[in-house]
Amino acid sequence: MESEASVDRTIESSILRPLREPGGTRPWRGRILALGTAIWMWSCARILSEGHGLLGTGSYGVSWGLTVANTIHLIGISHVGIAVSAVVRVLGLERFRNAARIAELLTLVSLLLAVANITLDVGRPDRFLVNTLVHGRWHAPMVWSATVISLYLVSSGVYLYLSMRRDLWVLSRTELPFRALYAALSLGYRDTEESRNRHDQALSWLALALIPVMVSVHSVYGLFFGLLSARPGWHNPLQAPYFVLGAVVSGFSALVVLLALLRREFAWRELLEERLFRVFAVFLAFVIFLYLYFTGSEHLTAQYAGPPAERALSGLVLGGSYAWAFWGTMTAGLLALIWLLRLARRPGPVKVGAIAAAAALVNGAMFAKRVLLLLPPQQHPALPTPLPPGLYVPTAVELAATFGTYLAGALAFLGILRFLPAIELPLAEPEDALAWTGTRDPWRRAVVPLTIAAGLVLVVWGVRGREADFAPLKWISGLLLLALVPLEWCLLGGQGKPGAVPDSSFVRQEAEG
Amino acid sequence: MTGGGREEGSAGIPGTPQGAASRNAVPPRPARRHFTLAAGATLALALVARRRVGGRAEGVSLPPRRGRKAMAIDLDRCMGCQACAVACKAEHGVRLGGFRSWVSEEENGRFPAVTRDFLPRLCNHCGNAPCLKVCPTGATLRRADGIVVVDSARCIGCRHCMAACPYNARYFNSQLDPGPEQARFTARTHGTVDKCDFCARRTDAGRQPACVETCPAAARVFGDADDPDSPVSRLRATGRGAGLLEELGTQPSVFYLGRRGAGPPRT
Repeated sequence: MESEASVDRTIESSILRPLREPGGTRPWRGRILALGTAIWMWSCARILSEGHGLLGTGSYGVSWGLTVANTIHLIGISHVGIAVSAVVRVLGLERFRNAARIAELLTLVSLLLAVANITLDVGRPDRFLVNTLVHGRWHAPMVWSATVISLYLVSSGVYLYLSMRRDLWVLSRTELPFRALYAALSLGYRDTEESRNRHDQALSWLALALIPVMVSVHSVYGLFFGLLSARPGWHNPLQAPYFVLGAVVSGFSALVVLLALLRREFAWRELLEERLFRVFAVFLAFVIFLYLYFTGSEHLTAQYAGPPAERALSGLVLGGSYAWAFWGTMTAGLLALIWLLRLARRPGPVKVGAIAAAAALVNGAMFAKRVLLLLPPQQHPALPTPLPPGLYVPTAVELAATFGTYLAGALAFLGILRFLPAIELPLAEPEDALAWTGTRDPWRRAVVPLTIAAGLVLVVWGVRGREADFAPLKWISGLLLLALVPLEWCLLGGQGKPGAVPDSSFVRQEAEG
Repeated sequence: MTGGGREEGSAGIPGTPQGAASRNAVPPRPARRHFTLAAGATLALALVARRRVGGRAEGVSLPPRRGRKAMAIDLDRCMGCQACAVACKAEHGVRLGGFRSWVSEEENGRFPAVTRDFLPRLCNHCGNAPCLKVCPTGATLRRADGIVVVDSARCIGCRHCMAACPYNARYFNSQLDPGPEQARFTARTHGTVDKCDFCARRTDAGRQPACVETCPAAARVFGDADDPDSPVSRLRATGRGAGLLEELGTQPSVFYLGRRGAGPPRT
């Protein structure tokens, strides 16, 4: 028992290293990222204040440029949190547990940055949210995307919080500088057996429910393009699953890079084991193969039996002005695939750094593939335009606003790591043996059913009156209420006041030993 | 920012589904009162938002006319002078680099049998408009007379409509506010998308669109497609006309009388 406890303490201190040593060994990194973030914010502010005239996009030719490609890429990366969590919770693969929270944090950060990018891209950010929620039309993919992204954002946040609530409670009992804040954030958590079960149960159900939400988020982004019959190259029934697959590729590759960086930075060799990277490498190689297969299938259909416009566009990509970019991207993906498989099958210790490098290559190739999806159909419209489409050359401000996003994301991640444990703390015996037998307070018992009822009423109300103004606001707030149900269910159960005479609804059990 | 006062108009366009729906949009109070903290706050927010953004731009809330408006363009008459493009720009204050109406030129055939062909272009006011389907805010809407208009006070500038339009009929006002003398043109509202509206303000007043009025060759004919005696209906009845890219199912309201009876060009 004692040795186990001491192992736990070692693990705990290892996990908490980033929280204990703010600044770390290389404080200049944070400063560089802060500088990059400042440049990013400055370029965003310029676009917001001076208009889209600053960008290389135009009315004829490319009107959706790098910011849109970046949004798609970030949304793609955001899938990984719930994918890994679902693997841990639903399939019970405990070995991925230590990667789960890092993946969830990656999800939240990339999702927020994606929303920032969309906001930056629309011509009127001042009206964007209000007009979409108030006047949103149910048949517009943009409104579908607002619906599923809000739901995904909030429920991922709930998932992250519930999986971290016990850790916040543990942190509130340490000597860390923010322990009062941790105590407040844990919202009266009591570490009882019942409470742990309740959280586990809620998280399992939430992970299960989040899988279709996650799939729908990426599908909707595919439908943004797949539903436009006017654009050969986009109009494609494959588009939604294609985007889901692309999200898996970009999400897992980003996660592998991040895990490798954290493992090196905080010496988490035991926490993020080598075999984890071996499994990720094989999985990544598999999904890259699937993605290449989809791409091949798309172009085979277009070339063999596509309508003339479709065939012409595919010809431009395969052998015309985009050929170098297309074949470069494909070669990078194929090389990464072979490299990953070789690294995974290699006997002896796993080369984590090399796997991360291959994953970074794949991630870059995925970004290039997003740009390749966007540009050709816009630059080759079906009918002549008043002005020639011309070449799309992103401006410096546009490039800074696009790639600065990742510096801002890295800085946000560093900030989060200083404050929150990136890996679940080991479970000790529940020391507080308060057994919760259910509250008798009718008001508290009614909260969860009433929230569900309210959520359903709002959703049905919104969907039934979908032609009316405010309909999206109704169904989105209904869905968000439903997303809060697991949180309420966990908050309302398992609470008690330490040391005080327990409420009649709590029965104190004798702690064993 | 421009036309701030213009945004407070009538709460919808009479006669359109959107207008009728927005009148019924004040939500009733939910029956269950205990949980209403979140729902109540949402509704309050919604009501505040409604007061702020509920209106329609002036150019859009014109009285609808009966009868579907349509335009016939005779390709044998067009000589590519671009007077329509100039008249349109002057009428609506269309910004540099944007066009509501213009004439495409292209060379067809192989030497020595080469022709230089003109194709006058504008929004096709589709019966099944792809831009209208994807518009997230209802800024693009079809009036009762079939004219597809953009409410510049409601547009968020996402440009999904531009991606959806097969006719490249839309342009984006990327520049900031062009100044007070141009501000009267809603076609210049920055950060929004704009396109041809069949000169709705002129045609509602019984006049012809600027491009039709100015065309020296009378290549453009505008009128009521539901009136069998209107010139545009009589041209349609000749059976010589066809719309552009009709195979996409867009049901365009603009149709072209073919070159020497050969039907419209397929670009």
